[in-house]
Amino acid sequence: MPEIRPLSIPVILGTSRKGRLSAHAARFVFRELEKRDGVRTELIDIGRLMHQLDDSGQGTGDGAFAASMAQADAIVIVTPEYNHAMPGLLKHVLDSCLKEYIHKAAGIVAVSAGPFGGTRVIETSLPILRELGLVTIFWDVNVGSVAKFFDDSGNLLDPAFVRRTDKFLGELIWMARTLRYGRENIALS
Amino acid sequence: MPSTTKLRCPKCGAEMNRHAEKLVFSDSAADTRLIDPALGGLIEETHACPRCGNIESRRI
Repeated sequence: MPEIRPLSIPVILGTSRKGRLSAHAARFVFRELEKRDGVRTELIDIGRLMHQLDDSGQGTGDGAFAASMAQADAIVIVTPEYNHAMPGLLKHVLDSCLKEYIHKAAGIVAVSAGPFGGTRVIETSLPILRELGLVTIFWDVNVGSVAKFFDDSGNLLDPAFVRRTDKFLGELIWMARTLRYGRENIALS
Repeated sequence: MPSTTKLRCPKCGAEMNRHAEKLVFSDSAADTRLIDPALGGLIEETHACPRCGNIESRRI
């Protein structure tokens, strides 16, 4: 199957919290995606989007974010775990689109300060992403005890993260290719 | 009932592929007239352009 257009796979940094260590994980995954042939990526920081707080839902969000989601073939969501769930701002941002997500792949990189690697935020995010029309993959990246993963400058301290991220991205790209073919060529009966 | 009219891509003119019908649960007053009582929501069709990748949707 010829890939005429490169796959578009943006990385969403899903928190605006000051001092967020999730930014290190997001930048790492972004750089790994940049190395992949046939993939175009960007790092979207939800803390820099224009949020409409007196309205919500489809079509109320940042236009540049919606354009990125419309172009995307897959998305990587890098999210910390706040009270077992994604940050409220991330949910608000994701809720601003719908048609842009349908039949596109989604992978989660979960980040936590504790030892469980964001497993709870993954579990609580899956039904949300499904309802948004995204197709979640079966690989996740869990970043537990995040302060041990990266130094203060964001340099990776745990080399195992590279291999896990590689497997995660391999599956995400496969799903992105498959779903693009389906979206563009297989009609709903 | 699914729409039978094929969409043309507004960006490149190619015929688009209708690949999904998404059930949308809306609490917007503007949407209530479109709600299918049998489904409990309204249907949003999604179309993708095989030439340029553009996506469009319409509510039916």
